[in-house]
Amino acid sequence: MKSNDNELKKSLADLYRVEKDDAFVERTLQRLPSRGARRLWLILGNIAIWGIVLLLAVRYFHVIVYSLADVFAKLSLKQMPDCDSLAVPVVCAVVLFVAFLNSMELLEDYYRSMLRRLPDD
Amino acid sequence: MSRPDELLWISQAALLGDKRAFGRLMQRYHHRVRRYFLMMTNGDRALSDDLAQIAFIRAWQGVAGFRMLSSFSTWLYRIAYTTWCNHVASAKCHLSLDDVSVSDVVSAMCDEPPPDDDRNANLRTAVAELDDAERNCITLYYLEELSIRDIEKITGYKQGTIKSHLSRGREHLRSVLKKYNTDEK
Repeated sequence: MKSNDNELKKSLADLYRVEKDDAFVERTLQRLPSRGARRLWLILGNIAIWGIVLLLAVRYFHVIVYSLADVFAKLSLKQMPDCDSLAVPVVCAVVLFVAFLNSMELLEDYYRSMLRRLPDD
Repeated sequence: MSRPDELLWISQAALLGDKRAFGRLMQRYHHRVRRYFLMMTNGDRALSDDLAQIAFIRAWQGVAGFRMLSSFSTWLYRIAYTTWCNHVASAKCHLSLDDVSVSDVVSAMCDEPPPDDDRNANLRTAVAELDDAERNCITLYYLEELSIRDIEKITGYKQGTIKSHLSRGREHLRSVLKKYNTDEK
């Protein structure tokens, strides 16, 4: 029985012989998508942008609060807020929007990698 | 279990995204994965190399999820097996036939292999006649020399099922080899 198994094994190995091929490895490596670099940049970008948000919030807290109060007061009186008062909330909104976009990118990257997760070992 | 040098390369690939470390893993295993696909595609080298590339790309994308509960080679064969299943499923969709068998699908999608002598031609035909499950089990057991336990982890079949696939596949292939040996005498 064992000799029959060995004969079958040998026959299949001879028929489907594959040699090591460095060119195949090189071609495949060139096709591999970059994984680590993008996530690292996203993490660093998030740290940077939220750091800036925090710094600006702490440094200009009273300016932001007075500007927002002024804008809402004018609006409640059905008056147009002036440019100086509007500038601060607009800048805050833009900075917050960019920060959230960056966080969403990072969350999406994690979500995609979870979706790509392969079956258990 | 995986060897220490492999564990180091896996960690580098998973944590740092180091392609060179993954390349070392590929150099160790690429010929085995390509050989698996070569038998599954019944000798179509171009298709087997394409499928092997797809399997390694999937392995690269999922290497961070390798939890070392089995050896790296078993995990890689599992990816190769699911790559093959996906390929057959998508080929079946393209053929759009309800009752098509896997051997028909494989024959339809594989190029003609290079001409063989009679013995190899008969053996190749016999391999093509095996159904997908039998061919997978025969390939993993005889060609890749994996244990029944590893085949169970890779394919999800129970051990009893694997043994019966092996038994049927083996009988069919041996009958071809025996017939050829008898004719030769």
